[in-house]
Amino acid sequence: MADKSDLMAAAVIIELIMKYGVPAALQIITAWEVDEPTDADWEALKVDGPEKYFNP
Amino acid sequence: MKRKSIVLFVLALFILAVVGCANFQKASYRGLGTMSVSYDLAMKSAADLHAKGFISDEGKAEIINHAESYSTAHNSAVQAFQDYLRAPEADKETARGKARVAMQAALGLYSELLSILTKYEIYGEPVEPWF
Repeated sequence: MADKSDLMAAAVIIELIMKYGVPAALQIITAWEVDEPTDADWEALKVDGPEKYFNP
Repeated sequence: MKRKSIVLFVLALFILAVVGCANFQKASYRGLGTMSVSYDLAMKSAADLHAKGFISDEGKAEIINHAESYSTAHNSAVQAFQDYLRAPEADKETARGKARVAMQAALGLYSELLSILTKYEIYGEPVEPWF
C-alpha cells in the first residue's frame, strides 16, 4: 500500500505535468532523480542562447 | 496582476527551497535543471508569440537582451560545477565558492528574466495546452 511520501511524490508529479506538460515534467523528474551528478549530467543542463529560438 | 505576483513568489520560494536545502551540489543541480526546462519552454513561447504578432519587435529585443544574460550566467554556473567536480581536493573549497557565486548570479538573472517575461504573460509554461 502506498504511504504518505508516495502520495506526496505522485501529487508533485501530477502538478509538474499539469504545469509544464509531460515531456518537460519528465525532464525535471529525471534531473531530480540524479543523486551524484556526473560531468555529462551537468553538460546536459546547458541552455541555448535566445537567438536560437527566435531565428531557428 | 495579483496572480502573476503569486506565481513569481511561489516559483522564487521553490527555487530558494531547492537550493537552500540538502546537499549543495545536488540541490544546485536540481535547481539548474528546473530552470533550464522552464527557460526552454518560456523561450519557445516567446518566439511563438512574436511569430504570431502578440509580441512586438521591441518586446522581442527586450526578452532577447535579458535571456542572453541569463543563458550566459546559467551556462557559467553549470561550467563552475563541472570545474568543481574536476578540481583536485586541495582546490575544492575555492571551486565550490566560485560555483556558489555563479549559482547566485544565475538565480538573480533568472528572477529578472521572469519579471520581463511576466510582462508578456509568459510564465515559463507552454502557451498551448499540452493535451
